[in-house]
Amino acid sequence: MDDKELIAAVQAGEREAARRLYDRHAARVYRLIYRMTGDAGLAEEYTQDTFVKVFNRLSQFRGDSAFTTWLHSVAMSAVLTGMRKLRRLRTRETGLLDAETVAAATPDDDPHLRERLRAELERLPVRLRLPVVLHDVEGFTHREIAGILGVPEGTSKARLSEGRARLRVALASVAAER
Amino acid sequence: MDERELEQRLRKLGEEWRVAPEPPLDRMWARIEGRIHAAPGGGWRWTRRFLPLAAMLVLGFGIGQLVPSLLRSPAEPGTGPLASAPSPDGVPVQEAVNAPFVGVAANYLERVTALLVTLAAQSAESRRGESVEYSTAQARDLLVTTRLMMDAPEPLDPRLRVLLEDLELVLAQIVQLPSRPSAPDVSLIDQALDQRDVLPRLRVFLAEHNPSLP
Repeated sequence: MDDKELIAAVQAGEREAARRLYDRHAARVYRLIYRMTGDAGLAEEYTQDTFVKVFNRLSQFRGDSAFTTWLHSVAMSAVLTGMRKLRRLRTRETGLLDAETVAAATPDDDPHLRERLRAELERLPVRLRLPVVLHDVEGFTHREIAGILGVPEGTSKARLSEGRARLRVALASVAAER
Repeated sequence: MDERELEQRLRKLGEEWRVAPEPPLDRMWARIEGRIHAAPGGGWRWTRRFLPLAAMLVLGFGIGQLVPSLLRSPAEPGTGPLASAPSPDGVPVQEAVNAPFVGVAANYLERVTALLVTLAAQSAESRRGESVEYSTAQARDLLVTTRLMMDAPEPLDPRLRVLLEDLELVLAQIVQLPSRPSAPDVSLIDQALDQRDVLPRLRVFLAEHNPSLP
């Protein structure tokens, strides 16, 4: 059974089909969300949010795009919404994000290029980090990224390019020291 | 660093940066199903055939006095946020701090028991061919309380937590009951609860926390 047939079965009320559809895609969604959040608890929570939304809105899926693209776009939306809430909460309560940013910005904390790359990637603004992670780390195509993020392909390419440029600049000094 | 080197490094970074642990697929699925069932008008069609009710008549006995020990992990006796230390007025500090939560938990267990006792009685009537009506309002209210307890900052016994998760699913399914369930629905009540072993686990759990219980 392909995704289309499974979706039709789910819409007809077959619980087993829903479980099969979930089993087919949940691990990848979870891994992607974990990549975005770096936290197993959040990855679990946002993966659940994603599938609850997907199953509740399955009737709205028109099949214009691949199911996986739609699924990942819902996942990204869940992540971004969740992270925004988390950021507001943390900022209000402890200013934790500011402290983390300052710490990550200290070059001496990450003497090795790999560690520095990791830190710089995490410091990229979300609008630039998402295309870099989705394309360069996860291997999505620009077409898929455009579908997931709801932007034109050209925007995906431009943001990837800008993200990479920022990374190169940030890493230039470290590379020169080697 | 040129474009190609950066690309290679990023791809390599993907092998070790934020590599996810094994996803807890079954646990997530259980939660997803519970949330879908709990949504107004939600749930798969098949769920309407499942009416997870049972005779949990023994559980109402002595619940209030059990609750404090249920809330404390047995692996950490006398430690952690629920450990008691005397305050100047002689009332253990943490008991005082957690008293509202313990009260809510006790009330919750009493209400769950009362609901299930009532529904079990109605199920028996239904099996005898009598027409019964279910009210899902209370189950919906208890479902909300269950989730609040699961999200509470106080440490719970891990087995109680799992039990709450199962009760969440059971209550979520009860919420989906039609007001006048058919006889075949009722025949599946025991089957649905047996699948989760809720009643035996509750009995074992309660017996371990209070040996004076029958």
